[in-house]
Amino acid sequence: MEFNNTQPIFIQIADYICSQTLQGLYKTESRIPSVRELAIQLEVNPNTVMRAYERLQNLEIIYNKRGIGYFIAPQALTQIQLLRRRQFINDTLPAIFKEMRLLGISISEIEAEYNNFLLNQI
Amino acid sequence: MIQLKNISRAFGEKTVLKQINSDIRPGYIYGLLGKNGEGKTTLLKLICGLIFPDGGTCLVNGEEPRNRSLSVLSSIYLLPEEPYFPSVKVKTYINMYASFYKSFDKEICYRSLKAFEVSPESELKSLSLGQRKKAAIALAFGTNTPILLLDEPTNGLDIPSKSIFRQLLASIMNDKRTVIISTHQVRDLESLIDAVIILDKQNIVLNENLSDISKKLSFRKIMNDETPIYRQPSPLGTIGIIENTTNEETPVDLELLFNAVISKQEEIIAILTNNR
Amino acid sequence: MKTSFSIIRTLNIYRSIWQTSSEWFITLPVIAISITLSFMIFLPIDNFFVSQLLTFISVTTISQIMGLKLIQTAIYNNGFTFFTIPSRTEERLIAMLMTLATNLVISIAAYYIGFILLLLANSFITEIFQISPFIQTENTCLLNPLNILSQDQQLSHYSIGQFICMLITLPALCFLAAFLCTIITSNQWIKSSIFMLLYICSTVIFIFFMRYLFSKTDSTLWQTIFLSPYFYILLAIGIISASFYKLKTKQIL
Repeated sequence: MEFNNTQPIFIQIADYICSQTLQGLYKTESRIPSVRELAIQLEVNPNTVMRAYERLQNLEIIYNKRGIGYFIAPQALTQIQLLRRRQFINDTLPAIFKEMRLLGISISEIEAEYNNFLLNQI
Repeated sequence: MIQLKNISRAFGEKTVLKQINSDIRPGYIYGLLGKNGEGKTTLLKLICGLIFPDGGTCLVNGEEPRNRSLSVLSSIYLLPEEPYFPSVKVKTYINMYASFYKSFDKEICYRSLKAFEVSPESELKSLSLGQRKKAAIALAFGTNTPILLLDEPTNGLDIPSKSIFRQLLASIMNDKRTVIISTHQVRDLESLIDAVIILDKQNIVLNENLSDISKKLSFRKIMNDETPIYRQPSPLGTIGIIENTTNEETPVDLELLFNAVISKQEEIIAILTNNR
Repeated sequence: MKTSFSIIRTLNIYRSIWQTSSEWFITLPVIAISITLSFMIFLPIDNFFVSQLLTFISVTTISQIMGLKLIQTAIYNNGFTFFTIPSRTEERLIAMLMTLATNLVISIAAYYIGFILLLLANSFITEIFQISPFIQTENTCLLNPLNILSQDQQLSHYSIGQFICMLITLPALCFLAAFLCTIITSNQWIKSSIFMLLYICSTVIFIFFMRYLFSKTDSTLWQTIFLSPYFYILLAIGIISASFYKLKTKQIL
């Protein structure tokens, strides 16, 4: 897995687990790789994976069964969507809004483009 | 734990280390960085008792390595940059030294050999330099000592082998183990190093874990209106280090950090030691 | 916490010294036998006993030099490993001394084997080809130091004991001094010079000793000290202790 250099690796790992879950590759209540297994797989320091798992635990996306391992929480999908929504609104949108203001693009233009996009999806 | 108290070491007229005071704690993979000839190998040799400090004390788990007691020697393994190889088979080479280490784990050793595709039955003298190095790495990992000192371990390894090295290192790391990797090839090991020791001007100028560093310093593209602590040009524009005033962290760019510490030592250290 | 001395560790270190060159067990005897054969055939000395002696001394000396080379490799080429493997300094020292001793034993055995082969070849060729033997064999006796002494029935057992002691201790002292030099420095010249110096001194001392042994006059004070094997045994112990200390404080730069 290639890591970018804008986000700390542990966040990228956490996001990776989230993406896998959203795509259905990690199912709810199923076991995800242990800290050590994932560290070997991704060739990173186990401490980094530990931080990623702690973050995911705090966000209630995974939980730990002592002695057995880490599992995707039942509410994972909802939590991930909430998280992503929040990220979109707090991080992605302000950047877009800044550009819009700079280039003088109005919100109705965006709405039109979005409808176009939805039509093309069908 | 490794404690360096007022360590000084000179070779003839040249002082290599001067009044070094630092602690190296378990649970981290340290990257030991420094310019050529600045004392990285000297420091590693001091820790394992191959050379003695002129002044000060080095303590490994409370004992001085210069006494070469069995308890200290059993807890350290040094893999030199160019290990010496006898003219024997790989498995003979391994058995020769494995017998000295109570902590030796045959499974780790042979798993490493297998991953590196080095056959235990091969004669060492018929292997290429890179393959011999891999055998030496397998032995080093196999000794399973709590302190592992690696001097340029990825030198001479081909690209797939560097990947295998990273996987193997990740598989043996735990919170009771200390790994110190002296290297110039930071890119090879950036994903594994989680603490950094920088040697410059006969001193350890930085000994921090990367998590703490990234809370205080950001490593990223620098905008025109910003005043970074350190900057350097790159294909993507100007990149540099700037004080982190946000809650966001960026990955620590070890090359950038090293260059900055060498050229802007006081500013960097000031920020890092701030709000301790 | 002091761990006790371990024979197994010592043997393992000994094994690791030997295995820096795995063909040693074959190379050494072959060289020793070759030297024996060539010296005996080509040495233009009439006295058979003297040529035997010279050959013996050469073979043992060369084998010790080879042994010291092994030790040199262990300390200076493989030093990083040699001084960091968990073991006591005594174990390292004894393993190295064992290496020298083994070298000596192998070379002596090879010498005798070479010599026997030579005698066999000699009688074999003489019979087959009906030519005169290329080795004068009237006085052939395998080098046996006791033969020298048995000529004089008046020598006491004590004197014979002293003789054997000196015969062993003086050369051993030369080798031990070279060994100490190997530990202290990798400089070949110093080692060789000291070795040659001690060798010459030993030969001189041995000659004086033999004269003293066969003379019936009372001994002077300095004769008692310097021609007594005890003195040299003490010296040898001193050198071994110095070796231990130097090994303990050896730094690998």
